[in-house]
Amino acid sequence: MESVIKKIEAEIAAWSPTGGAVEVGMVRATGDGIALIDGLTKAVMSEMVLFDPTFDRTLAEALKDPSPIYGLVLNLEEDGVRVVILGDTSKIYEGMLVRRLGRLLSIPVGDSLVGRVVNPLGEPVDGKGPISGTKPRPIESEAYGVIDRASVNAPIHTGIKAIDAMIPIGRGQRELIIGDRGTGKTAIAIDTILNQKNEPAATRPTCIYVAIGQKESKTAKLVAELAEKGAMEYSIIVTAPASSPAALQFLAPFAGAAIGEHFMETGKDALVVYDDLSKQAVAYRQMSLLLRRPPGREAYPGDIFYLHSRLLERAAKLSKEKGGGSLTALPIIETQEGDVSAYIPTNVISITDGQIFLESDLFNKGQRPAINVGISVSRVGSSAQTKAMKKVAGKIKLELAQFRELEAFMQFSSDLDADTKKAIDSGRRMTEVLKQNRGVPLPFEMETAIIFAATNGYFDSFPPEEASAAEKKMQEFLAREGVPVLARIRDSRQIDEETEKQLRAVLDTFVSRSA
Amino acid sequence: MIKNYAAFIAHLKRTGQMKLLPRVLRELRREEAYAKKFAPTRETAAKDPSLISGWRALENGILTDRTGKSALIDIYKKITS
Repeated sequence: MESVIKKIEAEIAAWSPTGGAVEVGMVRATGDGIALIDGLTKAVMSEMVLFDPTFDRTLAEALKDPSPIYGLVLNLEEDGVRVVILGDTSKIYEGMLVRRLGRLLSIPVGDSLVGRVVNPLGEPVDGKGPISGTKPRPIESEAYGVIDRASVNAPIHTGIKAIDAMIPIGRGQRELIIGDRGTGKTAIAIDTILNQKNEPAATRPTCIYVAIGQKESKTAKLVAELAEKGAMEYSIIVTAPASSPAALQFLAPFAGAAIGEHFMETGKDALVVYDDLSKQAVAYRQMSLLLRRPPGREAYPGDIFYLHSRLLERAAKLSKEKGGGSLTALPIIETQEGDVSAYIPTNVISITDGQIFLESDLFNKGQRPAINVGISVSRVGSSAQTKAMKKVAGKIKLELAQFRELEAFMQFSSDLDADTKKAIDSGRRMTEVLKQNRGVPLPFEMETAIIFAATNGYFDSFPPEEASAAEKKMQEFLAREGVPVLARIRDSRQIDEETEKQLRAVLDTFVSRSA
Repeated sequence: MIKNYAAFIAHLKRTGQMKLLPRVLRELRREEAYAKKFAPTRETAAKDPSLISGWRALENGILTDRTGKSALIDIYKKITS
């Protein structure tokens, strides 16, 4: 009680009348999350406004529910402005006073957000109390220009063998994860976040997972999984669930980017996952139609490309002069029936620096992760790949491409010549070795050792259908008997002559013991 | 606003645009409502005790609020946030 009295006394002592004049408007009409405001003639685009329910109420009524409701100016019209309501729309009424806040939509950002779950306005939704030590940052900001950027030169390991070997991702890159529903898109993103635990703390990126239009139960499960595996220590979740207004779902990725930029600008690395941008596009379409903007292809507004390009352009690797931080983006797009030529998928494919394409057929065949290596590509990641991985993974893509060509002949296996049969078996073995369960990302050195073994014939003594089981046994063996050589790969990030000799010795022992 | 009503009607008749009259009426009503909504007002605690103390004025879409009510709400928000 005493502390409360002291707090009130301190506030009263520090209080001074602001008295400043503020531009106000009045709600003319409201509906579907949009309010048409009279007045506010000097409002600017993307400015925040405050719906003030206290103006025409008594003090007692006002104090019952003083929580502010914010709005975002999105249309400036001849006779007013149209605003999207970022809160409980049922509390907005005709004639309600609306104040200009004179600032662009901002969210609080800071290191203290790590480990928290917030909504797109930066408000905590995890019940762990308020977040202190933050400063406001506009959610929309211009992407860095050419001079401020450096080329992507450091890898971000996903812990997934198939990706790190064939579709490497660099820090500052934008790599799209695309596929039908239920093909493991989120699993790849989550494994990547989990795998950052294997990175040294000094270079470990802060991970931001943006859940857009997801079921809250799915997000809760994901947070629990990250917390259980110790990944919340370096992660932030931004959630705009399916039940939230379209405006919040549209803003969520921008909020994630703003948080990521905070870390990038302090010289650190950040990884942001947008799960998924298809739902954001749908939310933006809904808003645009309600704002009476002209619809275009598939009823999306004309600036839908700009919506995604300005978001993804914010991913960058900064130059040394700018601190050398990076923001890597992993946008996710959900396709319908594998149609990558639909409007939103083609837009985002053209914006990003490559894509990981997941296929339902492969998923149903039991290939997990269900990556179609043929059309998955990373345009800049190979320059960021470690020497060790580059050395061992060079041949895989070619070998798998040859295997795919020959795959059609597999049913005639009895009539095939020895060379073709050998190539098919080798491809099948490689496919089996690249299989990986979700939630078990591998450290970089283990991936390198396994890929080395696969490309150097250490699985040839196993029948193709047993290669996956043999690979798991090899992992266990390496973790037990190959600790020094794994440490050597991890520290030097390359496989020199001596390392190769040691690795071959360990793998020979494994093969001889397994025979 | 229409300053000379008779001349306005004559002009509409001459140009054959009398069917615009309902629209003109709608626009005028809207303008009137807007003007009423943003008419200069000055409220004081003496007139409206719910303001508790002080005064507030709204003119040309600009609100100046020096009331005790807004001050108390401001303090309440700072303490409870």
